[in-house]
Amino acid sequence: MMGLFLEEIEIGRRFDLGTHHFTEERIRSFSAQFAPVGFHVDEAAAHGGLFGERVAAGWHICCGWMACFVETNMRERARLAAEGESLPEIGPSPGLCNLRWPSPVHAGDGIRYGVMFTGKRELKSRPGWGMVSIDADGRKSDGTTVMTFAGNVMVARRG
Amino acid sequence: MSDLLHLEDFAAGQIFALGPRSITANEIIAFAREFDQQPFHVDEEAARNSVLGGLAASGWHTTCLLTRLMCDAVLTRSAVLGSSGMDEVRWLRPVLVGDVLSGEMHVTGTRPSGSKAGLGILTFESFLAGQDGEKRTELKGMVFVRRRTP
Repeated sequence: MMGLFLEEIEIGRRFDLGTHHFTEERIRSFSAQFAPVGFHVDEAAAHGGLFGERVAAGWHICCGWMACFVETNMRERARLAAEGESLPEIGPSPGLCNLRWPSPVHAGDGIRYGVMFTGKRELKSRPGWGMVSIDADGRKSDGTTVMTFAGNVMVARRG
Repeated sequence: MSDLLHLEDFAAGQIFALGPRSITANEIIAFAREFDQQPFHVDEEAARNSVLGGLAASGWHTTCLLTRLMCDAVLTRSAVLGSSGMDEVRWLRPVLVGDVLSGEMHVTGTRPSGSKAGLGILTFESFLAGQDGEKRTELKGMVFVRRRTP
């Protein structure tokens, strides 16, 4: 993760992942594709719903985090490679928990995402690999939190 | 609105069948180009040599497909109003090109919202498996559903 081997993951280290912009058109098309329920796709239902207007699907907010995470990851890998560092194989994620969407995202919002390393351990079952715990977050420009979750990512060991 | 399912129409133990839904390389690549451009999601050659063993859908993509199949099975005909979160998302095995996904959504509980009048909380556990019966992804979470009697 971020071009780091398991040994180099520092607990408490945080990365700013940059900003994902949510447009009206993409909010509509994402919801139509993956969450076509009334309050996401029908104007009247959106007005009569919890938020009073159209909002981005929760999974869209998560996917925005992933886009920023992967972009930052690739950039860090390219930077380290240019410095002549060897890079670990990219590992998959077994999942996440405690996903929360405390505030809605609207068209025109730019969500700034972050990730922090919160723990790491070696994997007895997968020699050469470890598991890193992360806390993910997303915030609007006014600081309002719109997404948090605790995830896990497999990270290769150097040794 | 009255033809939509409300909180009172749900009960723990109900099971809704999801899918089947197949997935193509083009779909996997299109989603990954926008949200998850890791080599094993966008490049068939790189994917063959990766830990996933072939071109695989982003985990987020499989979770989005699971959500879509829950919408098709029951949520689009329910007075659902959103969700404040999910307790657990698990990506157990990669979803590969050609996989045909089907699964189940189990209602695990219903209760009135403590803070919002007219609103209830439906909790669920759902999964998608491949044609081999092996589970690919699981989801535990909640959605807000309108109550028929406030």
